[in-house]
Amino acid sequence: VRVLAAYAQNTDCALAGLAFAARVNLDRVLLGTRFQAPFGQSPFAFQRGLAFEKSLRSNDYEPTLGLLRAELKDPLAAPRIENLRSKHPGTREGMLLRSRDTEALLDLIVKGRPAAPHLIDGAALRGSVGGLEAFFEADALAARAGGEIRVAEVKSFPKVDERVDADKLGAALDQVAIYILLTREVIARLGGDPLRWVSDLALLITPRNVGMQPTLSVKGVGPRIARAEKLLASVPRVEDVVASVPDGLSFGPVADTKAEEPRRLAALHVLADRVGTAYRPGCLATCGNARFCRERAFCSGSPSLLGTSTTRVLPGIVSLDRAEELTRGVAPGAAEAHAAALLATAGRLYDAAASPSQPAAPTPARRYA
Amino acid sequence: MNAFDATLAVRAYRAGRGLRTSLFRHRRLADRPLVVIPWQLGAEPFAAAAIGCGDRPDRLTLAVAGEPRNRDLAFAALLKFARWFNPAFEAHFGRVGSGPQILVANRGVVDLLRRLGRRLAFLPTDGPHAAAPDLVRLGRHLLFLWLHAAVPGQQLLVALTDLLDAHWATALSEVERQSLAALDAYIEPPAGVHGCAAAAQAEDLAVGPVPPGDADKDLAPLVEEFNRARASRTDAAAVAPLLPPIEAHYLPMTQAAWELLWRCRGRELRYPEAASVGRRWQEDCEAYQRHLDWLAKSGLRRTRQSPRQAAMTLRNLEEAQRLVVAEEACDDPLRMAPYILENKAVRGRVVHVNATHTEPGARRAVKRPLVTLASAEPCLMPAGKELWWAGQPAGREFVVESVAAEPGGGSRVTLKLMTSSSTTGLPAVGSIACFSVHSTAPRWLAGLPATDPWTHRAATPPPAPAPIEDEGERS
Repeated sequence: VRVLAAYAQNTDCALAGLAFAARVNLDRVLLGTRFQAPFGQSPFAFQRGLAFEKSLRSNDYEPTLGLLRAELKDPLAAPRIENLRSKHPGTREGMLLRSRDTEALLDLIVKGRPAAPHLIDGAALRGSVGGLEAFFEADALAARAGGEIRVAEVKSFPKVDERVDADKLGAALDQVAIYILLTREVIARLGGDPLRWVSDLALLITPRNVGMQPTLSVKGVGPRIARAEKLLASVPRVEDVVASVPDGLSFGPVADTKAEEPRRLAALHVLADRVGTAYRPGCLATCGNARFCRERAFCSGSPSLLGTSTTRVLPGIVSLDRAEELTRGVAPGAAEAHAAALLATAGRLYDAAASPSQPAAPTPARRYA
Repeated sequence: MNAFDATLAVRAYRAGRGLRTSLFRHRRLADRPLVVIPWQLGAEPFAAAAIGCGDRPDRLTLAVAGEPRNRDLAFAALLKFARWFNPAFEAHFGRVGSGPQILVANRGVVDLLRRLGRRLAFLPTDGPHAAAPDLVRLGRHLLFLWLHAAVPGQQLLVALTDLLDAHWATALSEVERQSLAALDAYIEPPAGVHGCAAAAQAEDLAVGPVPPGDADKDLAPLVEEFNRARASRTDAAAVAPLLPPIEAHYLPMTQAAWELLWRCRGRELRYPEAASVGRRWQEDCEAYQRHLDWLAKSGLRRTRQSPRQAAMTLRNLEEAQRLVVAEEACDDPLRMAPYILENKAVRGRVVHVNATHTEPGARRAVKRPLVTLASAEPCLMPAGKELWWAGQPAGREFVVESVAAEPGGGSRVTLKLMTSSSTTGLPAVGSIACFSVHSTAPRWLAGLPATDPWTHRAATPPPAPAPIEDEGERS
């Protein structure tokens, strides 16, 4: 999912598109070079997540069911729980089997069969990203007999005083929105009414306070679902990306950890030159290639180095060096004229205020009678 | 980001090092700051695995919990920290104009201190799970510091990334500027190295609170070994001999962050302090004294504000923000420059002062002195706009009387002082004067109605603050 999330944010980057199409994990391509991405996860963070999920499954899912009973207002006297995670391995083949099982279980729910599950742990949803098949792993799908399906996500960040960290909450809700979208697609394939069957209220299960006591939060994610739909639809078709790439290019020589670093980087430079990249500072958080692209942006003096908030102020200016010349009052070209006037004035004002020849502070007051 | 910030950023790019965005330092740096460098264990939100602290560059002490997921061990480390922090923090009590300053690396640390404060502040000091009173006191100090940290321009809890970011322009993006090491490397790169390259090299240096994943990978076997050896014991006598390997893991990390913090502080100290810093420091000290007074009574604070409290807080924060922006601009010509660019200020040479100009008033003729400026820049201000003289921003307003473009791109601006009182002065002819939209005069702040309107009444009152310990799990 991380790979996909990273790609979904960089859809304008041809290099990332190529890597996604070729199923190359960019986080690993530059392993062992100075551009290696610092995405190593702390084992303690990992343990915390696992421990929390395990506590939810303990005692035949009793903690989870307790939360759902209160939320769905259904006693769930004889709950039927399907754990797809333990049934199939975490490989691609396993995911395929899990997605088939998920579909069959959702079919039971839609048809109102008595064997329909109340809770599916580790449902796999099949989706298409840029024309490529991808699997998404939803933590839990819950349903009341004859009622709606709810999508739940398990996170290990705490809820204190009825509040959670806003950034983490946003990311989790975006994730649930994608799952709701995909569940609706499955329901539509099965002939059900997706809007009636799948609620747009996201369930979030997090620990409460310091310990691992679970608590459930509900949040409507309608707008996020619409946004996720738009995002997935806007991903360019991978076939088109691949078709636009010249033949004979491969990530192979770059990822070869036995080769010398300069040779590997040179191979990636050739690749980036031929395919094209689109660096933004936001890439640093998601893409394993970002540090490499950052150095390229730095060497070429690209304004994208400073981020979109700056490039917006520098329309029509090709490089930071050129922008610097404009702040010194160099005559602008036609495309630069709009930004240049402000830059030149700003440069003059800076020089006037920063140079010691000017009086540093306003002169003292002269009182008038 | 506006055109002025962009100009500074591209100049900083060309220069290959940081560029000062102000002539002065707009925050007080206390002589003996309490420097705190806490480390989390992975994503454990409510415990510190290790805390480095000290108030002198050559005296770093480290408190290590060993297994911070265990309540007793986490509290033992925090207690060690509290016994140093509380006396140092409270030492200024009762001394007017004196207050403590806590120096941390970044906003992540500020947030961690809040979470620790939330955990400790409401613990019971009696009953079966009694906590040490020092811990509770520490928690209440930390909660106060975090609440006060929201006040714009405050100086009790200073995050160095914020301080450097406010005083230096760099060619780093917003994300990269959150790393103190990268910011420091860009501002002062080694000779012959461009700031971007220096920042890229430095950015992996961790300053906390979340340690890099690789550091935790090295730590994991140490913690496992520690837990095996202590065999569920948590008493100090049993645990203390087992801690050295874990201390040895944290010490070099803390030492590196420690040196970085003091180096950054030392560099900022070289710049002269701005004129209005003293006023804000006074306010900080008053807030600090109020906190200690309150602590002597009960010291409890709500964890969720009532609607009335929230409205008042917002109003006060907005007023503080307005004041700090105005003071920084009026103290510092370089901070005023962006406002001139945005036509919110005009600077120029005073070419004429008519101190005896009179106008017909409501009953009799009143004195309305006129000041004429010759500015080198075009001035796009409408007549009637209210401005304040930056030399006396707490005085009465001037109103733009007329603006005329001069040949060569400059402009001639005439301003009218809207009082005949002599408490607001006039600039001298021939001097450089600046008039801006910034005023530091106290404003009338709207009060709230005696009863809350129905739109702002909560269905249920916010719950009383309670401890957030989970008594079920005490491994």
